[in-house]
Amino acid sequence: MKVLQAHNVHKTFHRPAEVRVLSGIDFGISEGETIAIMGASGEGKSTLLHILGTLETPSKGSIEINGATVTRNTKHAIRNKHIGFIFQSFHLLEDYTTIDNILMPARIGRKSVKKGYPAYLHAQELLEMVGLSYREHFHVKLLSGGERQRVAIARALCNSPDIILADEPSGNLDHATSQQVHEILISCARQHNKAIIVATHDKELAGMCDTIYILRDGILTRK
Amino acid sequence: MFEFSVALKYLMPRRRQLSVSIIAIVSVFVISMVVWLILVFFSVTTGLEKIWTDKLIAMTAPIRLNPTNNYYDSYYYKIDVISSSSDYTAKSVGEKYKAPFTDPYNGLNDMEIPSYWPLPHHDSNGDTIDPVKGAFNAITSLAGIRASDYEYAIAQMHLKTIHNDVQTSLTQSCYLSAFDEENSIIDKIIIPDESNTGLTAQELITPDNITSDENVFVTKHFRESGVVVGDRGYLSYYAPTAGALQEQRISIRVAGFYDPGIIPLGGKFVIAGKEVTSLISAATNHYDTTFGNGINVWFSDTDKASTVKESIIHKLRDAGIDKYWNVQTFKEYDFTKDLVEQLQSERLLFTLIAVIIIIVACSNIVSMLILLVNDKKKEIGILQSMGASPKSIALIFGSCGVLMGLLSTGIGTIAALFTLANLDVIIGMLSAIQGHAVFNSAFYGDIMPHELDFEIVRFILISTGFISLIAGVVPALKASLMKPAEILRSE
Repeated sequence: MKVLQAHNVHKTFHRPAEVRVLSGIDFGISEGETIAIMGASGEGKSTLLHILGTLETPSKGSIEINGATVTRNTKHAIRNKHIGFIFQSFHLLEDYTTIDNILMPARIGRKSVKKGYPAYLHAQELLEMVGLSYREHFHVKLLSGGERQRVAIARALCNSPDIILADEPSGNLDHATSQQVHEILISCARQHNKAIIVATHDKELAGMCDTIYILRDGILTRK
Repeated sequence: MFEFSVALKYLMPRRRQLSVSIIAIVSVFVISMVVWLILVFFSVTTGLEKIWTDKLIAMTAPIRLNPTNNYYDSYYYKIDVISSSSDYTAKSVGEKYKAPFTDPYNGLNDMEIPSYWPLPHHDSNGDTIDPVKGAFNAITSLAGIRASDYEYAIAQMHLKTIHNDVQTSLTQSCYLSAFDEENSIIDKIIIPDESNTGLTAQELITPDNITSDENVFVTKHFRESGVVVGDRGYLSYYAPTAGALQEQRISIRVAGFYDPGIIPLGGKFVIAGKEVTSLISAATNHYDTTFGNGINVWFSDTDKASTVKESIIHKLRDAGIDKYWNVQTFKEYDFTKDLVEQLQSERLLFTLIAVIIIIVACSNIVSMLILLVNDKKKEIGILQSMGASPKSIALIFGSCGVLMGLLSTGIGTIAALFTLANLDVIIGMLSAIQGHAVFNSAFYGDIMPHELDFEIVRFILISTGFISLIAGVVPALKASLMKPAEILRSE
């Protein structure tokens, strides 16, 4: 069964001028599968990712997560339980520590995040997995770009989601750090059997994925 | 709760968000000041009201029953003037209570009852109803409530004082108010005679002192005019004799002074022995429906006066004698009603002003939270990307408003408690700066009274919490309506 399925997804922006970004995307991803979406800047990769991640509503069409159609009322809970986001500019909460950032999805999901509780232990495991145990109580504003993105990866995995959506995860990093982040991202996903959709320009990262799709003129085609 | 902890984090002053921090601190300070002002004002007015009320009740009892016109027009009241066993004189409520017969009329000896007089009031068993004894029974059947008759009389008081070989005469018309043996709080108004005899209030009101026919207690104003404990004089009144009205005199001795509080007629009252009051009252035959005599009702918790009044009315109705009595609490007496109403109006007026000031102060919260929402736009998008619902986002900023309101209330309350604990020191300093007393002791007493009113604390807590919540609604809505995809794209 597909963990995520997009049915005939269209997206048109009406302001400031009418721009058709997506024109009938039909697309699915199964558990443990890794997919890269490539395309030129402005083709709508981020928009597609936002729609798949329920952050944005499609103009037409629908999204199914684990067989259930996403609605206005269910999208927040679905996002919290089933989807993990990784952004190009990390989007960490600057006033919080590393561990607090990782635990935030659990707190939003009303889980107890006290020391010693399962959510906390899981967050510590994730920190170890991304190699940042020694930064557990550091404020994220003190971390380097690579470290921040690793925190973002750990945060995306906090609630053990079924799908990871990564939007240019290494776009702001140097080559060496990017490689490191790519390896962590792909290996984490494979280790936890997560479905990953990565929007990227990076051919090396795309090459690490099972399937590559190209988004051009609002149409998604398999490479 | 996740929303609450995020709100707390947002409210912590930070250098990075200086403008938000400054507005937040100013808002908290202004609301605290308003809370402080309201609590101090209400504590002082509550204290004053309590002292005034205590003095008032110590003079008049918390509830009184006065005979109505129905009483004075009744067979029960009128029959004494044609009954030989009543000495052909109308009786006071106290005398009626002690009278052996409800109906003293004897058809064989007494003159014929005028045909236009009302008939006696009988109950369903055919027994004559006794409105006075019935009222006493009705009142004392209620748990913890005592009753006693009271009586006022009008006389002329003459006092002679000789001090340092200088003789002074003081003459004043006065109302005589009889000592009430059920009044256990009279010591609250008796002024200790420290400078002269060294006697305390309790020592001045010994049973011997208050049952003596010649001892009287006069208001503190006499002391200010040079009268001291032990000064003598007389009460004069006119009584009908066989020939004409003749002046009668009864010797008196000043046994002490009392503080009448702010009762408008306070300066005119003289507390005298019951026998003396009754004698003068009977001689002048002065009974009226509002003032002359009636029944004092005593109980400890004066806050329950209205409830007790309702219970008494209910009992009187059951006994079929409610038409003979006008039941009033101390807030309804003719000579206190205006004052009590004025105090209530002032409290209401200040409450309205206070609410307006709180609203103005809380409006700062709106600007502060809108700034905060703009400042935290990116975080709102991030939280939404992790699954935070618009409701959660709204709750975060709503909580910010409520937290600020509650924090301000807490600071204001602590400041008010500190002020009240040191009120006299502060007033002393203000008086020193001003060069004279800030508050006149004639009205406020030697020590400024104050009593923290928990009703007001509750009102402040609820109103600041509510207004802060309302203030947080607009920014909370603004935050919750933000679209995460747009925020994250722009960031």
